[in-house]
Amino acid sequence: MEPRLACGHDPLAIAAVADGAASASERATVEAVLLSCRACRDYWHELRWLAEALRTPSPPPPTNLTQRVMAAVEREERKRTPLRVGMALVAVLLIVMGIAMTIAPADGLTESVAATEPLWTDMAATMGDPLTLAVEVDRIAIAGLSMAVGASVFLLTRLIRTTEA
Amino acid sequence: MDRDGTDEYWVGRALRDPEAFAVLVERYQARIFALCYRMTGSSDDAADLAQETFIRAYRGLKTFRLDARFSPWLYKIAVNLCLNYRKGKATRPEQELDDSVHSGDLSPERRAEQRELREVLTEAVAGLPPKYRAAIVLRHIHDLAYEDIADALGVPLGTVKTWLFRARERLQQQLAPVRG
Repeated sequence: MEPRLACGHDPLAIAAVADGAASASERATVEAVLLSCRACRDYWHELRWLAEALRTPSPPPPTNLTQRVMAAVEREERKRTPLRVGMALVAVLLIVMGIAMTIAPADGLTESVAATEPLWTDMAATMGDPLTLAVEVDRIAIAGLSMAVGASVFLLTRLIRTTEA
Repeated sequence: MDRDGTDEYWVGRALRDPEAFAVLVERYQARIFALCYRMTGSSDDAADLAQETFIRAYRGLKTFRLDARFSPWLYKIAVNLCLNYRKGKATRPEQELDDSVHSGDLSPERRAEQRELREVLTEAVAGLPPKYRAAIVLRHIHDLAYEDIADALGVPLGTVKTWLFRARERLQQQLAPVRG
């Protein structure tokens, strides 16, 4: 329920003028009311008196407050930096590895596997080269996994920063 | 370091260089300390809360929108800390400041009256419900506009007006016996 003075007028409108928060037209309306209403004038004077009484000074802050804050800020930064840099490096490394595996020539990998697994090479010859297919699938899977883990670490780094904030 | 520039400029710099945050601390420490002091009634607690306010502000700089205004955001952090602090403690106002600050050339009797008035006023402000007290302190001690008080307290403008009205009503009732 909207507060009302005993005279029925709106004390919030009078307070808004006293607080310098009223528009020109609101101010004009209140001023007209103040001229005609004794209870509103009393309330106005109460507000002015209280505002003046409340204007008491506070003690000054401790002289070392800035140093205390900045020392804490420095501690925060020291704590955060190594973890964030380490995680960012791991993320970059994994993503670069994934990209490198994706764009690396497939033949080289197939040949290196073929050299150590002659049986697979023979099977590849007779069965329409499933070895090439298998190595290719593995390569893409590892590359994808590497990039996904890298991206996750990157996102985790961001999350830690947000949580810290 | 040149200390000119808007708050938002220094927020931008502090994001790149933590040392720049000191400018914002120096600029606002008196106001934030005064707010915490009025909310807690204790210099020691106010110093701790002011320090915590700035540390939280520093942590939150990355999420601060550079198109927003820094001071209402900082006040909001301080008010929230003070309101949470208040949940566990009762406010016990310390001795008010020296008479000489306000009394000028008044007679001894008048000075004594003013001292009594200030003591009662301090007690009355300390006895207000925390949200009313925050509204009164932000309006009268910090001279904040209604909109900024609403931002700092996280409530609609109409609520600020109502809280101020209720707070003033209580203060007037308590101060009536000592008014000259």
